[in-house]
Amino acid sequence: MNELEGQIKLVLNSNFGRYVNISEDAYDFLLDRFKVRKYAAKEFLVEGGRVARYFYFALSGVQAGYLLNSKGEKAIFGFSYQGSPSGIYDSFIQQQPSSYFMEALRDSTLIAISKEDYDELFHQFPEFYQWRTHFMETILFGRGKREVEMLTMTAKERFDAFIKRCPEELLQIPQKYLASYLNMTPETFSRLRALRD
Amino acid sequence: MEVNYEQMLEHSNRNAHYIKSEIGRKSSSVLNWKENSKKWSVLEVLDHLTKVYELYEPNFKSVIEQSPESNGESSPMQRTLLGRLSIYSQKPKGQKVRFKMNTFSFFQPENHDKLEDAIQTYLDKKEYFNELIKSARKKNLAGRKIPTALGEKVKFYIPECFQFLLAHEDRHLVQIQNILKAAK
Repeated sequence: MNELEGQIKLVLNSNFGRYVNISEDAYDFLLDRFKVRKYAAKEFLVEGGRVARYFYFALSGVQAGYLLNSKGEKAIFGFSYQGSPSGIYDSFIQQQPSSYFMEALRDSTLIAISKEDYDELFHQFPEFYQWRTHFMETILFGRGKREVEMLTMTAKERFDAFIKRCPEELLQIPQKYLASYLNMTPETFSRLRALRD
Repeated sequence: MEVNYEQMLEHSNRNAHYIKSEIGRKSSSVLNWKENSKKWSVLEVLDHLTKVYELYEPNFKSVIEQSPESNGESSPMQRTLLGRLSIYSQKPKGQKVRFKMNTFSFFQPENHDKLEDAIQTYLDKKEYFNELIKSARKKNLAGRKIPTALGEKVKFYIPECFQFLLAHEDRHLVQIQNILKAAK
């Protein structure tokens, strides 16, 4: 087994395997239908106005999800990185044009499954709905927690909470993306970071 | 209004999606219907848009390819006065087309018996146009202009030329919607 295959199996196990006892047939299906896709930095995984073709798991790199505000500025709502799910899920599920962009901030390798194959996975292996339920709960609870942070915390409290849970690779991306995610100016982010360092 | 590459790409994608999902489902008789012999059918409008994209493509391609990569940020959106005016005059106001003008002869659509692939041809052109926007986003295009159909000496900066073509397309999407209403 080469390094890439090892990474793929690790990502599949750490996502699906935590909630589903993956049978040999299901495993073969996953390995067959998830395809490796590489994106250079600044390339889009999903474009605004276009239907999201794939659901992903990230093997490497960092990707940011954002929408454009009325001034055309990027408002970052989330990141994906090694091991995490990625893509624009509502556009993917509904097969409607996305209101958001997903962009590789660094050269990235991901595994991607098409909508047709994603639907087929649940049709052939209904036990995967356990993972899907958990995935939806994680998104819902995560969005709720973020909303509370935005409504009740000061900039410093938001910064501290983020730094506590943030993986190291996210701290390597340009500060403006992290600042936007935390709904603060890059200057404020930089000042808080300097205080911490 | 100032726009950036991501806004233009989203705008362009939404226009293409409209043609693919809404117009692509119409019957041949609706798509070829015209109010009278001087007016255009839906397919003729799409053929006109294809011809416009065809004219601009090589100039976009050559300037973008020859420009250096940008260092991180996309280059600033430069504007000419004539570019601003042209975008303003092309952009429809709601469902109204302002400043009606005659079409240059080289942009006139083909006879409609040659238009059976007009939708797919237009969508292919749009795909390429969107690729050009994405390529331009990664380049330093400061000061780079291309000639326009308004004359060899009338040049627009690359981003404003993208915006000009999208405003022109919006104008014709209104025309398409009006043709469809009249065809009912």
